[in-house]
Amino acid sequence: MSTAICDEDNVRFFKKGNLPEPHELEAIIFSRQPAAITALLKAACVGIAGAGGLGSVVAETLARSGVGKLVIADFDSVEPSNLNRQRYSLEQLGLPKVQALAENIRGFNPFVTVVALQERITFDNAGELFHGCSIVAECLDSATEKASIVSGFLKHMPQAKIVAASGLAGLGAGAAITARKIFSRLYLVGDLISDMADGAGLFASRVGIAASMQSHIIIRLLAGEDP
Amino acid sequence: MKLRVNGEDRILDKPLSTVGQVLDHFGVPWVRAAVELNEDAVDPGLFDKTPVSDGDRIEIVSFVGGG
Repeated sequence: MSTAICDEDNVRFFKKGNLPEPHELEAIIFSRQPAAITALLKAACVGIAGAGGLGSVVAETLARSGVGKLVIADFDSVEPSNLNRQRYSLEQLGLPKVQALAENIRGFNPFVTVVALQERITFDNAGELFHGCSIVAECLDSATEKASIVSGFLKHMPQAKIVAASGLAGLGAGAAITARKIFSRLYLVGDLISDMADGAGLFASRVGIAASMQSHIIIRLLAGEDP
Repeated sequence: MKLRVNGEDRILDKPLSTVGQVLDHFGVPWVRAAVELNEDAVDPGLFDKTPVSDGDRIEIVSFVGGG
C-alpha cells in the first residue's frame, strides 16, 4: 500500500514500545472523533451496574470512546463460563471483574478514571454507589435484580438517565433487539422477551448487540442527542 | 375504570385500587417489574400500598433475564 504525503502534512514516527507524551497520545487516540464531542465525553461520568456480558462490553466501548469517568460495580469474579461473551482473559480467572476490567481499560485508554466497586448492588444502595453519574447502565443478569436496581435508580437518582437491557438471550434475529425510551428517563434495549431462563443460552454476538446499543444510546445522550 | 398503560388507553371491567392489582391484572410478576405512576417511580416494596385512580398513567417494564 502506498500513502501519498502532501505539502503541509504533519508526519510523526513512533518507535515501537515508545509512546508519545500523554497529551499527544490522547489527541491521537481520539483523532477520529470530532473534538467537540470528545470533550463532552471526557467531561462525563457514567455508571455501569454489572460487569458481565453487557457491562464488560459497555465499559470497554465507553472507555474507548473517551468517557472521562466510569463507575463500575459488580461483586463477582471472573470464571471460565464467562469467557464465551465477557471481555476477560484466561490470566484474569479468579480476579474481581471490576479489577480485571479496570486493568483492561488502562491497556488501551489510560486517560479514563475507573472507579471499581466490588459490591453487590441493591435497590437501597444503587443511588449511593453511582452518586455523581449523569447516566447509569443496567447490565445485570437476573430479571429480578434488573427490576430492583432499575427501580432503585428511578427512586434514588432523580436526575440520572437510565439505560437498561431486557431480552437478549438465544439466537433470535439481531435486528429484533431494539432501543426505545419507555419512561421519562428510562431507555430499554432488547427484544423484551428472550429470557435466559428458557434455556436458549447467551451468545457473544447477540449480547454484544444489546451492549453496543446501550453504549450507543449513552454516547448519543452525552453528545446532546435525544435518542 | 380507565388507565393509560405503557402509552395505551385501557378500559378495565373492574376497578383496580393498587399498583399491585394492576400488575396482577396484566400478569406481570411483581419481582420482575419496574413501574412509574404518573412519571414517579414506585418503590417495589410498596406495589400493594400505592393507590391508582381513574385516568392515571402507569408505565410497566417486565424484565427477562440475561446479561
